[in-house]
Amino acid sequence: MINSFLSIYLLFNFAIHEHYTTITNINFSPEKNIEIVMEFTAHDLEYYFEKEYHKELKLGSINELKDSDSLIFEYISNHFYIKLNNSKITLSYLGKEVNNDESLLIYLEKKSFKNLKSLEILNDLLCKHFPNQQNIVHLEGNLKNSFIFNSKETIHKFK
Amino acid sequence: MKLYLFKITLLFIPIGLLGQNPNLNYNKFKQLKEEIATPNNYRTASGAPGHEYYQNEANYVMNLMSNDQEQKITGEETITYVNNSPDQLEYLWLQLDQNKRAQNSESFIIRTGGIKSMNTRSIKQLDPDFEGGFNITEVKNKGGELDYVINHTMMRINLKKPLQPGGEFEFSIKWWYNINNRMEIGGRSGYEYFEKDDNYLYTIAQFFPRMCVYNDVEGWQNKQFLGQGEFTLPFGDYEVNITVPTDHVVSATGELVNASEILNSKQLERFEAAKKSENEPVFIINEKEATKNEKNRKKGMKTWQFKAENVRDFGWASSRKFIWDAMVVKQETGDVLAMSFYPKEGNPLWEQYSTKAVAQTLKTYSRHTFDYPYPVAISVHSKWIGMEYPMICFNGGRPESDGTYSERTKYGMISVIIHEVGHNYFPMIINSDERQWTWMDEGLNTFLQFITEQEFQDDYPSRRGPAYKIVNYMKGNKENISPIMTNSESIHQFGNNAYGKPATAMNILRETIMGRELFDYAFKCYANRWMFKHPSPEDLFRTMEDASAIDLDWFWRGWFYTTDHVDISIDEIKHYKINNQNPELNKKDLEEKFIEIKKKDISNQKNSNNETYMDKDEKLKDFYTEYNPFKVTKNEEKKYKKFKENLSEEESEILEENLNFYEIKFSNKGGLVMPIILDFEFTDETHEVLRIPAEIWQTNNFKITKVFAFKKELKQVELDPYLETADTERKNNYWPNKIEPTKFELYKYKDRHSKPSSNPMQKKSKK
Ligand SMILES: [Zn+2]
Repeated sequence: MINSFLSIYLLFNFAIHEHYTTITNINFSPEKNIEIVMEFTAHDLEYYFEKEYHKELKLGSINELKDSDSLIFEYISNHFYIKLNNSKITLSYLGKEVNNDESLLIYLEKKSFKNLKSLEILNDLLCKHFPNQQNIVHLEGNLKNSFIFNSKETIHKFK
Repeated sequence: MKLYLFKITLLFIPIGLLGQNPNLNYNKFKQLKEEIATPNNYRTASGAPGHEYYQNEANYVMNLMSNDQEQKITGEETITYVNNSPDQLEYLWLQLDQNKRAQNSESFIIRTGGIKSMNTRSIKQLDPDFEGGFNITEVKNKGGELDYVINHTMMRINLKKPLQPGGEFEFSIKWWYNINNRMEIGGRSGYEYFEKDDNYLYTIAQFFPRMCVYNDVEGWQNKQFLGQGEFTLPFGDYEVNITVPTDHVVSATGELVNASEILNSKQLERFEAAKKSENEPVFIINEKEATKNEKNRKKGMKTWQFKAENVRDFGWASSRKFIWDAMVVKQETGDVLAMSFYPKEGNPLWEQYSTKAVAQTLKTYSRHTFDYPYPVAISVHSKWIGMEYPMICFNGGRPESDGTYSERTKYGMISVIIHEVGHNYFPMIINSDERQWTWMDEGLNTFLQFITEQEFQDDYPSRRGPAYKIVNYMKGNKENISPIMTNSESIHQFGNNAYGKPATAMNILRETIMGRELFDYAFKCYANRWMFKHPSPEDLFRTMEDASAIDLDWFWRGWFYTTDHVDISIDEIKHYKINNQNPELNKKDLEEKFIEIKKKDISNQKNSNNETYMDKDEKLKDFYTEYNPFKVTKNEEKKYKKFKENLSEEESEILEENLNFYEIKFSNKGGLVMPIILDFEFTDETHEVLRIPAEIWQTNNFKITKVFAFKKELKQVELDPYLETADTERKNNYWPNKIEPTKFELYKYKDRHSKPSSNPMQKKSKK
């Protein structure tokens, strides 16, 4: 069974959909920038927006919502943050890439971060409508590690 | 929460050695004897069915009535169950999949999650108001009513006398159930309602009480249906009569037996023409006719009769809206009709691609397995989902209402059709146990799907298959991922685990480990051995080895039984030359080095024009002033002559060649052993690619040193140059060090204005 289209239903916890995953790579670069690449399955996010906001994003088509970028960024800002040394950092949205193999890449950035003493990440992307959602976060650079977020564990802290 | 984990992990890489008893064998090449079942008379050590292999059989005769007003199905079935096992059966088990939608379903109860993770929909589902589930109204045989017990999605028939080996048991069941609205509450089957023309499109499956499998591996496979682990069913023959409103068109598993009664003469003529059309589908019902038909509300019912032999299940679809096209696929063993059923909402994509995608799938898959053994292969349009049954599958892919579509939609649709039609081979014919092992059908199917897609079109944007696409999943923390050999219900990250990783593993096996020739023969052998039978994982593992003479235990162990990933690193390279003992060359070499150093020395450079004391005063000179330490002495010459005389012919040849030796240290940081593939580039810019089998790690799984000899001198080395091993960290794959740009950097520096739009078609039509 496969499901390349929009469909996940809570009612039966029924997985015709086999993805349920986002993967985020966060790189703390030697130049002290935070570089983020977030990978969604395009139709997951589209389905989510239909259920949550009754909006059809139609990513990558000419009919794509005019403000899809700002909507996506707003959504991400509400469901993903990084706290450095106890204060939330402001990310800027560089853009996105929609591919024919259904991968949707979102590029985010934070220029010049302060010395890293503690780190807290929240990630509950797509969890609200997809109970089996798993969000993988890979830390690159000196912090090499990775963590899995899901509807039960939405925050990880590191010191 | 892991506060200090990231510091510790670094210290303990490579993982996998922690907490293990040091006195046991943890070598990654250790044979799999402890993990896999012992071969026996049912399943041989070579991976084939054994001489006592058996399988039971379930034959069905069914009458179904579809109620289009209330979206309800009523059915009666007579099952003839044949016990080919050597065992007495005191009871029979049937599966009642619709009970997953019953209000007391276990799958509601075992769901976990806090209040925070709930929303209105999940709150509503605590009290599901859809009255789903089977209503069993009669279970009997010729002796009268049968005693039965329903345990959620399983039903046990208590036999008065055990069913003997070789015996048959005939009984019948009557039932009805409400069809779910697939668009609202989901499901592999159900209906979609089209408000505009007030029509329903039914895609119906798991609609009847179905026999469970009884075999040598599981006894009765009666593990409850919780939603993720799909089905396991015995083979049998089906005769199914489906009564629907008279203007509905029905598509189903099997051959339409009463076509001459059901179709009008024009349709019959076209149907016959389709059976001869090899290149283009022929419309049996075209869009114009279907659009007219969907406005119909004719009174009365019609019965469509289908017959299917040697299938493990039955599915069907029904609607007034169906367009129907078909073409023939020729095979040595017989013709197959590739067909599609879709509403006008599927066009223009469906009329152009669906049936041709079906045909392409049959051709590619058959080449890697066996000729498609059924008379029809059908793709039915069903928004959003993809779901497979024997001979028939339900597939998504709907263009926009203006008839345009993005490239993504097009490839999504073709991929889903290839995938679902491909399921005919895995698990419909090579009938593995999906309830236990999702990867055995999804993984193997996704692997052949990838090959089919690449044959459909150059650079087809396949989602899964290439090694590098699985890296992001495999590289991270192992806490929340599971080995492929995990029961279907316990899998984390279903898609990557049961589809992506096994498909990639098979692809790596084919391209990198075994090579196409050995792999293709062995894989085809597995397919033919288990065609119309029930294989288990061991049967695949063993056949691939037995037919190829390659010990793959390490591969199955690493890729299927662990969550290790691939990360091989070039740690160090040292350059050596053999000292050929020739004093002339040696001394010349020394002299050159001496001169080079002298030339480089900054004081020397600045002093070179100065006149020294000795230049002015001859008396300072002695023997050593003119002595050349780099000149070969008589003694040295003699010694060299003697040395040469003692050399064998082979030894002196090696010396003549004046080879460069490189001692390279590798380490295995990810734990998963893999071949080492190296691209050596020499100073004259020529290349040599060397493939070292994974067995190089046999005695030391984590650190090895190997010496390579070349006539030329090395300029650089790249490990895994063709991205074929799923190496997760490429930074340590180069010597000298080379940093590849990250995805992030690539995005940032590329011209963002040159992005192509993905629905240029629409732009064109709007002008
Ligand atoms: Zn599938």
